[in-house]
Amino acid sequence: MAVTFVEEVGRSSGKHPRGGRRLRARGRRRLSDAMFWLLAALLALPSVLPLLWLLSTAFKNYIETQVVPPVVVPFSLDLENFSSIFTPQIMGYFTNSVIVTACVLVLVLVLALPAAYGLARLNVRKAKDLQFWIISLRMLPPMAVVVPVYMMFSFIGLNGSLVSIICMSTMMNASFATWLFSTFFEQVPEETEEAAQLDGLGRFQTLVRISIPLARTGILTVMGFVFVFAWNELPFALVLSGQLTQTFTVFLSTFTSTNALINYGQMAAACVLYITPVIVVTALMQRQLAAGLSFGAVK
Amino acid sequence: MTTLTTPDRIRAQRTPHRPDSTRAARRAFVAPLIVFLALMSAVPTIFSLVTSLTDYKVGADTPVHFVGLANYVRVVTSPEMLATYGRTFLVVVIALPFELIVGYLIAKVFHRVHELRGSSLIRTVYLLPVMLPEIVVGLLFGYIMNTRVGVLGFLLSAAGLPAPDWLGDPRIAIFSIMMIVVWQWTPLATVILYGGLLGIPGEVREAAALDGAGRIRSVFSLEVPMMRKVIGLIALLAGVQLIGTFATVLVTTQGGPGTTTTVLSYEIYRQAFVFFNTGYGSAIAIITLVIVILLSQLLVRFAFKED
Amino acid sequence: MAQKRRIRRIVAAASAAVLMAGLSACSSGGSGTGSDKAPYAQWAPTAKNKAAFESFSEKLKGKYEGKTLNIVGIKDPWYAAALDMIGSFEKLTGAKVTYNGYSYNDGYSKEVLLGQQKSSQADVIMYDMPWIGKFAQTGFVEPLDDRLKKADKDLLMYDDFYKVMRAGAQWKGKTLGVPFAPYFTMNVYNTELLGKAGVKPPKTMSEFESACHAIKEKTGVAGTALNNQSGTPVGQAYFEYIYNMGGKPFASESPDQPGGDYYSDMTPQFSSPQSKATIKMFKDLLDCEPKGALNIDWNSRYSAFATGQAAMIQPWNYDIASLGSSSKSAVAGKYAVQPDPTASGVALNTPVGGWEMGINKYSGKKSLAWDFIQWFSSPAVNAAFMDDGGFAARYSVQDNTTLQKKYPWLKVQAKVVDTAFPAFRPQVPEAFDIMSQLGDQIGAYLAGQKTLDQATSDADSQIGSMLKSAGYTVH
Repeated sequence: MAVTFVEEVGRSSGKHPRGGRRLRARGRRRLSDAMFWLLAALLALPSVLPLLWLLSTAFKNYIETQVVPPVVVPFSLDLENFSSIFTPQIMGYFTNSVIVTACVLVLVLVLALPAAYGLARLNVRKAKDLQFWIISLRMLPPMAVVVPVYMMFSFIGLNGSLVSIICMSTMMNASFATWLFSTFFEQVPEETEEAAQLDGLGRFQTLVRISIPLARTGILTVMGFVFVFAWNELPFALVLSGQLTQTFTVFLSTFTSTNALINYGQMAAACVLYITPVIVVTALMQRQLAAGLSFGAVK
Repeated sequence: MTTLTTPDRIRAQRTPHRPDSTRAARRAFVAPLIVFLALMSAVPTIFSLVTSLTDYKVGADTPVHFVGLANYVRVVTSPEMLATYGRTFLVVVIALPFELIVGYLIAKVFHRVHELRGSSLIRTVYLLPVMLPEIVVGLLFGYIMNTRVGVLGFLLSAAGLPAPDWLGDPRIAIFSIMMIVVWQWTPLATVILYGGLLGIPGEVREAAALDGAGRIRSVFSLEVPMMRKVIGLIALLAGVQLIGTFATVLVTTQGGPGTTTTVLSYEIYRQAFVFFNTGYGSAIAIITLVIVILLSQLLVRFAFKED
Repeated sequence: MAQKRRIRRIVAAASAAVLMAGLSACSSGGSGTGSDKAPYAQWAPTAKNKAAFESFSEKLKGKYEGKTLNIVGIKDPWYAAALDMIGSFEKLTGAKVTYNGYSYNDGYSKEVLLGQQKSSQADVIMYDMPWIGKFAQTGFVEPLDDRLKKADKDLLMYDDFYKVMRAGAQWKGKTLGVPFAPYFTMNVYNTELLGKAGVKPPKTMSEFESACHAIKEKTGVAGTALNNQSGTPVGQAYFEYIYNMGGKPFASESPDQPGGDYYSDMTPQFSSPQSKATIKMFKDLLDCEPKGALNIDWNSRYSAFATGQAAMIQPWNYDIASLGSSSKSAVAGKYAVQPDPTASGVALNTPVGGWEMGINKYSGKKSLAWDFIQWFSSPAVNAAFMDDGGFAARYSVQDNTTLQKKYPWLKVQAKVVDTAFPAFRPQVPEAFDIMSQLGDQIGAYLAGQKTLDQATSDADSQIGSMLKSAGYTVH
């Protein structure tokens, strides 16, 4: 049973048959359980060690970041790096990221939810081809897309505004979300919807009152991903942002090697600040993430 | 769990004419998205197609000439550009199977312990890299893999192992870039495969075991066929991610040493927005888009075709 | 289960909140500046200038309340010092100033795009000298000649700016910018390491090369660190060494060119013996450079020297300014500065670069921008900027004895300033492409992808044909 993205309605939940197996050879099983558990924990270690290094670097002064052997725990606990990030200007970049992400979340909901429902339920002609086209937009490399897009926004004079970044991020995420939303709506039992319609609800009300609440776990998980993707986006923002509309990822890109002096401590502090919301979202999505993401592709 | 293409099946069972499935309703639900996506994809493509036939340079006041297919000819005859395409292809054909195989092995371990206490926290922590901005991962690994002051080289030499010049040795820099990308994206493959493994019912496994299928054989006779769509999905997501590798190169090697890490997305950025060879950059972008669309369509048709 | 999950969520959210609150608590604001009346007036070099600066400051007081000035520029090491000065300007005038600093490549890209968009989002544009041709061609940096003519002579003291910087701000007879942060390279060496190896500070390039090898041999520490990274870093490095190696990059681009007609013959000279010797020297020195030599750029060159991992470098002066600060350098008090070495018999030609401020033609706040530029580049503010980690852009600042005592390298800069050649890197619109393409070729040679002959002849033909199609004379 993969993750349940849609609440069960009048179905038996298919739990794993447990119990019997457990009784046999319990001791041996326990030992091997412990070993595999340890192995799993070890496998997760490489994911988290570099992040701990990032955190430690955030508290180092410049010299501490540049010496060999490296300083592991910076006892000096230099907060200078963080205070140098909390300037109105750099917080302005942060605000831009917040605005872009919030707008993308709203737009994706407004555009993708009804469309996904329509594709799943409303006899749209060539629905399958449409779905393929929609998801294929998500497959395009952003840097190849942004060249044409730059030309277009430049023609209509929207370059350098947040609008252009929001539009592109919405396009990438709406295509991904529509595809997943429609797999969720397909799982909502049709009888439930038909019953609602017999009670006099229109299509739109059925969507809002029945289908969305039933698919809400799945929808929230996808929106969690949309948040992460929009928050992390760089290629569009790098090219399309203007002087006043830099997002935080563009600011992070200024710590590149063509910079004359990279203060790794400050860079790490900025990174730590910026990934904190992402880690919070990940923690909130833990149950869905840990249950495995099959994106509806499991039979 | 249902499959991607259930609407067809459902629709087949459905009565053909329902009063509220009018064209108006369909339009109201579906049209805003379709119109938005069409505007955001078709219009730019037209702009780009036109530009790719000229010698237009953004930011120059020099007259623009129609040059026909010259930009395209330049792309396919330039050894540097062909090498860039080849290098990107190499990244995909090495990193993608790696992500799949290693991701699968780790998924098996996770599946083995999936009912144990604490395993869900382990999986979430393991998945963290996927959630990070590529730019943060690039900056972090640029620092960790720095040959002079990076902690990775230090740890290796402290353990008495040779510490390669990760990002500075022309022979291995591209593999270091792959390492960074693989570190970030293998967890995604793992978690999707893990979902797939959970989706194989216990009864099917037991039946296979009764048939006398060994462990290795059951991988190929049972799991791979049952997870065809899952594998297709990973190939699609990871392939796209690999072809789009940009920020990692931007903040670690800037395409060097030499041109040994100049991958496609980075080259497009350089041509279009650093050298402002807009026409030429557009031609590279169009060729890339055509290749990616063809490949992804092939993959979609192959992996998601109905039995 | 559900409750547990809820608790976990609350813990996650709470710890995030604590982190954020903790972080914002340590953000302290404000930067101290001396007198409130006319900050920095004490630095004015002459009584006349002081009076002019004070009355200018008086006029500016509160003049731009509620207005915002946007600067687009670079995030080089003097960024923090510039922000300090900007803070004083904000206090004085009431204006809010935002200064977006990018890295070198992205900064160039962003500024050209702003110009292409005819964007009014930037008012003041900072640019490196070789970018001027491109910006003039794009036409978005406004000529300042009229404003300079009308400005208060006692305040501006235009002739006090370094000659080479005044020349570098001109393009086809028009002045497009005012200098504020000029860069010169000098040779910096670690006195301890040189002493240990028993080598003397090199005067000639061949002494430099053999000193680097000797240091590596005798001390085990890298003799030097050069900008070897592909693309712009090594492309720029070529220009930093070619003249002092006795060569030139293009047929007519040399200080001896009659009439200053530096771009009349743009035939590339990358295969000349001097060019080849320069590029080969980059490769020969790899052996005695720190680990990861092929990826060295401005940043790692400095860090290698500042942490004692390389004995001698020829950095821009912004690095020399940082070397004295104990928070950015572990070699404070253990280094000395001298002019760059040259090939024997070749006169010193000190590489010059650095930043000028221009006004965006499409800006809606040109008078605010011009007041800012005049204020920032004035002798008093320039001296305060220098004292805070920035640079002397003026003779009066360089000759200030207080500053010279505090920053002994300033005397070396004073010696080399007038040996600099404004067009040492071409200022033509194609400058950026030239340096990147050349840098790709040299990078390919250093990485072993091409031989020296291949790389230099490919550079000649590629850059030559690009320049030819742009309308230059190329033989």
